[in-house]
Amino acid sequence: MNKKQEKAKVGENKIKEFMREGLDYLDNMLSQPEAENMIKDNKLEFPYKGKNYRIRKPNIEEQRTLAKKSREKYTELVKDESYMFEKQWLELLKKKGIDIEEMKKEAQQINHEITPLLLKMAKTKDKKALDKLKESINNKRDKQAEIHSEIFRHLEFSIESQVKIQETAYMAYQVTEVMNIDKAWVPVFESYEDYDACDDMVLLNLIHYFLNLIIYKQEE
Amino acid sequence: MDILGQIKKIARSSKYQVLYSQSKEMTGLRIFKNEYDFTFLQLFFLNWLSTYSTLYQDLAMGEEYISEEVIRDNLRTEAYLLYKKKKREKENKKNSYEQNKEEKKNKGKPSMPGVKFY
Repeated sequence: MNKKQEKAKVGENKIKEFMREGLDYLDNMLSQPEAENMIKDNKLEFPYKGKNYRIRKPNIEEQRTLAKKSREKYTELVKDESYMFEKQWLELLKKKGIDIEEMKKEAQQINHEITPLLLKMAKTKDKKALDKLKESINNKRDKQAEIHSEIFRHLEFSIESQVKIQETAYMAYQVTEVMNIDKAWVPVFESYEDYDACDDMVLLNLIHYFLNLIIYKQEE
Repeated sequence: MDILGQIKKIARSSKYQVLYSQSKEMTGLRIFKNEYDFTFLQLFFLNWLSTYSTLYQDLAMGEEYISEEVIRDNLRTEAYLLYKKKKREKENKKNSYEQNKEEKKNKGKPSMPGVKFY
């Protein structure tokens, strides 16, 4: 594992602690009126530690810069021998007894198990039967989420994943703004390095949470 | 905390269902401040606004297996939508089979009934 990979591996407990703090914060913040405000504009505002932040969509120039940065990152990682493509990771993991393709099939199979339960639920009115079906479906979906999470963890350091992670991080730097004392929106981070150096994990989690609500992801 | 659940709740509210139905008649009505460059959340909301409108229409028409209780429950709504989709697929398959059967029956026959070809 090189230095960058080590840096990415912040203590698991620490991450969970920050995520819990972030989720508690969101729980308090996201009442229905707040949720309603979030759909009214293509910019999302949120208060944090006495300041007003906002996430907006990247403009054309920023999209071009982002594409360029993604290309540069991709080239950098391809040249770095310690990084592998997803396909190479799949082969290596299989040799070590971790079959990602099988895990994907298992996750897909769960969909086939859920479908008849949903169709049964559609025709059911009995509360007890409905609760039982809901529990069954939710358990299967939790299992599915666990599998996807495990797949992501195994492939996190692939070139494809790292480029996506960097892309999201760069976009977060571009589109995060804060309201200054003159009531004008100004960038939070002066540079990408500034963003990278930010150690307020709750703020970063909030930024990424809201960024995911802004950007429409094309189906792969 | 489930923001997407909150957005669905807003989409099925009578306030937004009325706005949605009236927006078809009154072109000046706007839900969003922005007129383009919609966010994922806005597109998600629009999708569910339309879906719930259809569900309320099904309810009004007395369709089987739909009720206010189903509409208020996200999982039961999902179940109902899946049931509706499967029902539609089955009907389309049946119609396609019957159409093929009819075409085979009429194969070789003149396409203009009542006209004799000598």
